[in-house]
Order: sequence, then structure tokens, then C-alpha cells
Amino acid sequence: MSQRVELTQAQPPRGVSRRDLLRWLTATAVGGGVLAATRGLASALSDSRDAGPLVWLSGGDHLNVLTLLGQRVPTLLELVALELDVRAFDPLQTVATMPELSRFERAPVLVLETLPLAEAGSLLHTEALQPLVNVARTAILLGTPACYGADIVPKAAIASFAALCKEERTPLIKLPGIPVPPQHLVGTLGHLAFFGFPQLDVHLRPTLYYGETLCTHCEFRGDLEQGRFADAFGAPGCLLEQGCKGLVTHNSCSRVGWNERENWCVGAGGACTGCSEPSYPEHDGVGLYGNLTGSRLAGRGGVIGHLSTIGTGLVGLTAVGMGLRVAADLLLGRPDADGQTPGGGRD
Amino acid sequence: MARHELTIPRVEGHLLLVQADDGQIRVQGSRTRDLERWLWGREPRDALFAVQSFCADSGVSHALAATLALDDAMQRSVAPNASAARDLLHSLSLLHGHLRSLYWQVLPDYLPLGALRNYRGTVSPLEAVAARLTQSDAPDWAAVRRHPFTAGEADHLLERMNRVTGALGQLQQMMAVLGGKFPVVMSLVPGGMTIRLGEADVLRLESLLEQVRRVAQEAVVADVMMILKQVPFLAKLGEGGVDYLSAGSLGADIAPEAALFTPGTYVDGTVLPPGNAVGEALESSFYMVRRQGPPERPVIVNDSLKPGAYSWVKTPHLQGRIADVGPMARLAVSHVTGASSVQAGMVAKIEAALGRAILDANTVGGRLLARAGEVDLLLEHASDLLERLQPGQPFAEAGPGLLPGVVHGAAALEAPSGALQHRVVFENRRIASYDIISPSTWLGAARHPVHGQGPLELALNRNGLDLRTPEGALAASRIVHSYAFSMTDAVQ
Repeated sequence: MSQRVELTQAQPPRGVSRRDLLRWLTATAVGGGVLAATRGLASALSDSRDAGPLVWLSGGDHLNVLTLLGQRVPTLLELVALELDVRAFDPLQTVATMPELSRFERAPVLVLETLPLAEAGSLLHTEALQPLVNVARTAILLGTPACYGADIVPKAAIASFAALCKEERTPLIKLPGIPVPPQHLVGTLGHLAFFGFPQLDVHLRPTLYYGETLCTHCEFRGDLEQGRFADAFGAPGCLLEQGCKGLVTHNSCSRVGWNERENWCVGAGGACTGCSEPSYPEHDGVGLYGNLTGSRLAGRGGVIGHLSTIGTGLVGLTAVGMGLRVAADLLLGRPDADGQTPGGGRD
Repeated sequence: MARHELTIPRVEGHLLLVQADDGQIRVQGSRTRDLERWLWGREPRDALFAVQSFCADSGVSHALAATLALDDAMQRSVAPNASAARDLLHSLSLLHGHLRSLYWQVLPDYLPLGALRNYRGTVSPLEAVAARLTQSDAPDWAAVRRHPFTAGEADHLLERMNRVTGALGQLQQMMAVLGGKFPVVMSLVPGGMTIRLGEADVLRLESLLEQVRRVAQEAVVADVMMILKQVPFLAKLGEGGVDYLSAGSLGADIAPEAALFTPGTYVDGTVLPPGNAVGEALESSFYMVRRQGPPERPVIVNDSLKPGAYSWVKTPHLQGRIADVGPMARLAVSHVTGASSVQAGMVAKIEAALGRAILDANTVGGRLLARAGEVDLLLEHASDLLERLQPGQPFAEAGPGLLPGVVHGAAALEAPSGALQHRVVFENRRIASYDIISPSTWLGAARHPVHGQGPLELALNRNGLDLRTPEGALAASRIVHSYAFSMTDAVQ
């Protein structure tokens, strides 16, 4: 039954260089320095991998489209020129159609923001999707509703799609978030192109982006460790007692930030809602703004216990990281004073 | 004519137009997202976050409306610093929505991105895309390249699109300074905002706004004029209704006559006094009213098999009239009430460009110009608001919380595509019911046996379009995009 398209050799670089994309990918990944140092820029560039054509089927809200439109390094138009080979993406299309499979010379990467629903107006019906999943190199679910079921996407649809991927032997990656940081999608595509399939956690999220909790790099981590908690929004201190879910949320926000590293939720004094976790939005009965200390972590002692785990991990990561950072900086160049991604490093 | 279905591209959610045997076009698409009902029983603050997923471009407007409704229920006053910051956030989100709509939804209807293949300019990313699109394995979307512009005009518009895309990023950065991130801002709380801004933050905002101004000021109107010059029938295409509603915004809470967007309604040739309640009819929608409890009360529930229904969009109305909303409605209300003189220049410009009086200019061309004209107004307003920010001063004040028992809260403001209203009932400090009337609900309203057609259906059915033909499909796309319609926003 399967007629999977075999990958051919990578096409020669065109437009913006692969090196630019790789540099951007490694600079924005949570473990970017580790990635670059262990795999190597030169070896990645000489590796004849290719992500394949990108087929991005929108269907729900445009939150993720907006983040990509606002992405400045690289811009959406630069991405089009890159090897990402955008074949189908709603903002680029004049006519709303499904892509013709016969035009694909290589196995595509399929990005879905919603899943098949029996409703009028949906291009995404199972009959249309099955052939795409069949030929896809990888399927990526984008955004929390598509990853875990929320909003109009029932959890049964997630299970059904996972079963379809399993049947068609198409690996599945989940990139949750409301919205998804754009670097997660572009970086994952870059990883597929340069390094192959990324390492995933138990929830099928790339550990590059979802490998650490937000508290690991939060600017209020010192307050958390010292037990200085804000008694109201806008007050100084860690936001744990205001319902912040940073302790249990795996994402890159506190390290990479949002909108060209300009800020992030907690940086603006808002509590993290844990939007990239499978437990979102109920969080085992705690709710969006319910207090973790009173339930899930069973009081302050639970927090301290959790911190010790984080702390042990950090010591190890710091030791390894210091060594690797030197190598990474040599290869990639440091972000400039504005925190912008390096763009003018050595080629 | 055989029944025909057409999916319109570049619309949030799935917008399906169905042309029946009799030629009538109906607006269909995504089912309800049940988000209003999802909020029932939840903590009040949950709404401030959750409503932002209704619509990407209107997300900030929804969050502000939810916050104002909660302020109203708590009877909270808002710190002046927070009021300025909220208005600034609102202005920036409107700017962002307009620029994204005009250059990423509207422009491809006239200059498809496949035209990048023929780009002959010297802007690096565009050259790179052109090189990519001339390769033998170019994507399908690049095959559509026909357009009415000269080569020079096409290159100019593509370069403008590229620069505006950069400006979108800068606007997102500004909203991240104020809200943590964009889309989905996180700093709004009852009585103010959680941010703490210093002098450096305000300077940063000024610098970013200046960069946006260099791209957008006056140039957006000029770009739309260029489209109108080459596609003159836009002056007549897609004529909408003549009833207008503006919720008012950006100063309307302080002094309606001094607001940037004047609140008001213009129905059946008459300016209605404020305070007219908006109703919602369900005759043609997949909903019914059922009494549920305890305590027993009427609630709206889904009924996907309801006889005679064809849409998940309800039918909002003002005294039985389905009003047009959006930039043209804001302009019309401002004009007929005489409350605001800042838009007089735009009225004259539209009348001259279209050769029609402003109240007769609710066409694709008029709506695009009205939207573009707001860009300049919003840039000026954002600049004024930046001067009102007081770095180092608090952005929130302590105040009363929700009282136990039944408490009502309501708020209305202008989203990028039009008037937005949130009405909430809290019961024992929980959300008991949440009712939203979004701009896209007005625009995509299901036709009603008495109230008639909604603006979108009215505009789509006035030109005898045949959706089976490429010309008819393109005209329909142009009409839909001129309203900045969002299907997800229409079906909460």
C-alpha cells in the first residue's frame, strides 16, 4: 500500500545559504551550542540531507502564521528562498487547493495545525490527508490544539491521526504552544535537513526546544530559590504564587524569548500558563492561574524538592556547557549586544 | 446553475462560499469553537488569555475587551499609566492587523506571489526568491503570475510587501515590550497591566515606532491607490450595506467626541442615540435556546441538524438591521456624527478616488482605502500615547475584587475588522455566561428571514458572480479580503 517517495540527493544550495539557516537554527535552539559543537557545522553542511518540500496546511487560527510573518531573522520570504522549499502554505496561495502529490520529487514534510474534522468547509478531510501522510517524510503537529486536543480539535482526532501515522510509518513530531515560537518550526525543519530526525521527549516534542523547564533560565529563578514570591501581579518576586506554571512547563521562552528575543510572558510580569504541556489548560485541576504550590507540588516543600532536581541538572549542564560554548562561539559567533541572532559570522 | 463550493484562501479558519442553484452565495465554513461555553464555570482571569485564540489579528482586542469587562464588573479604575499603555497596545495591534491584511491577504489578490519570479529589483531576499521560483521544481503557488501592473509597479509593490513584513516584526517587538509576546499578550490584569517600564523601554518603543513609521506613513494609502488605478472597477465591486456600527475606541471611554474612533450607529439614514442593545438571532444558525440550570436560565446550545440552518455564524442585529462594521463603518460614523475632524481628509480622498459620496462608498475600493487611511491615524496616535507613558511609575493599582453573587460586566471596542463586544455574567466569582459579538460575526452574519443578509453575503451577491469561473472566484476573494474577515472570529 505504501508508495513512499524516496529521498533523492540534496539539491545544491540556492538563494540564502544553508549556512545561514544552520547558524540561525543552532543559535535559537535551547541546546544550540551543544548541537553545533557535537555535530559540527562543517559536517552538517557536507551532509547530503534534505528536509524535503514543506506542505503546511492551516486550518484553525492564524497565531502561528503571525509569528512566522513577524520573524525577522530570517524573514518568511527568505525562508521561501531557502531549502525549506515551501510547496503549500496558505499565506502564499492564490487559490486554496491541496498540493498535487505527483509534483513531489522528494518526500514532503507535512505540517498540520488542525486535524481532520467532519465539517463543511474543511480542506482537511481524512481522504485528502491520508495520501499526504503516506508519502510524507515526517508529520509535524503545530500548536497545542493540534498536539493535544483543545478548542475544536477533539482528543479522539489526535489519537486517530497518530494511528494513521503509525500505519503509514510516518514519524510524528509535536510542536506545542499558543502560539508556537517560530524558531521551533524552522529549527526542527533545519534539524531534519542537516542532522536528521531530532531527539524527542515522551510527548514527541524535540528536546532541543522542550528539554528544560522555564524556571531553569528564568530571570526570577533567584527569587524562587530564595523563596521571594510576588504577592500580586506587578509586584517584585517569583510569580509561582500567582499561578505561574514555569516549574512544570517545558519550552524555550525563558532562554530564547519571543519576538526577536524582545521579551516573554514572565518578563512582562505575566504568569506562564503552561501552554506547551499536555496537561494544559486544566493542569490536573489547578487551572490556568491556579497555584501549583497548593496542590500539585504539595506546598513549598514540594517546590524545594523539585528545585533540587533542577539544580543537579544545572550543575552538570553548566560544566558541559562552558566547554562547549567556547567551541560553539568559534563556529557560530555570539549574538550581538542587542541579542540578535548572528548574521555576519565567518563563512 | 449547479451548486458550487469555493474555499477562499488566506482566511483564518475555513471560509467556504456555497453558490446554490439559484445563484445565491452563502457564507459557510468552520463549526463553532465552543469557546464561549468553555469559559463557563472558569476563573474570570482565564478569559483574558483564552479569548486571544479567537482570532490572530483581533486577539489583543479580545483580551482588552475581556479585561475591560472584568474592570467593569469589579468597578475598578485604571491607572492613567496603564490606560495609556493599554491604548498603545491596542493601537499597535490595529496597525499590525491592517498592515498584515493589506499586504498578506489583499495584495496577493492583485499581485500573486508568483510574480516574484519576474522580480528585477535589487532587494536581496526578493532576488533570492526570484531565483528559487525560476527553477524547474518551483512550487505550484508560483505558477499564478498574472497581474495588471507594469513591471516597475510590480517590483515596487513586492518591495513594499517585503518592507511591511519587516515592520510587522517591529510592531510585534513593540507589543512584546508591552505584553510579553505577540500574538497572545500576557500582561493585562484588572485595573492595569503587570509591566514595569523604564526610560530605556520607552526609548526602545520610540525607536521601533519610528522604524515602522518610515515604512508605513502615507505609503500604504499610496499603494492602495496604485491598486485602484490599475483595477478601477473596485470602486463598484462588492457593495455592502448602508447601516454602520462603531463601538468607538482609543479615548472613547474618556470623551467620545475626542476619541480616535467615534462610537455611534447609523441605521436607516439616522444617527441612533447611544445605548441601543445589540441582539442576536439564531433562525439560520445551528443553535437553539434551551433552559438549563440550576438555577434555570436560557442558554444557547448547538444543534447541527437544525432544519433550515446553514451556518455556524449567528445573526447579530441592531433594531432588526445587520450593520456593517470595520474601518469604513468607523469612517462613516465619524462623518455623520461630525464628532471627529481627524478623518475628514480621508473622506475627501476616498470620495475623489471612487467618485462616490462617502456613505455610498462601501465597496472593495472604499473599504481598502478606509483601512489604509487608518494606518496614518494610528501611527500618530501611537506616537502621542508614547509621550503619555510615565517610565518608572506603576501600571496597576490595587482595587476591589469581584463581589460574591451575580455581577455583570461588559465592554465594547474596535478590533481591526470592526466593533467587538464582550458581555459577561459572574456568579460567585466564576464566569456563569460569556457572550461575544465579534466583528466577523457581524460581517459573516447568516441571512435572516426578516433582517435580511449580512454584509458579506450582501456584497457577494450584488455583482452576479459565478464562483465556477476563475474571474468570479477572484472577485469573491477580493470582496472577502476587503473586509479582513476571519472565520474563527465569527464562530466563538
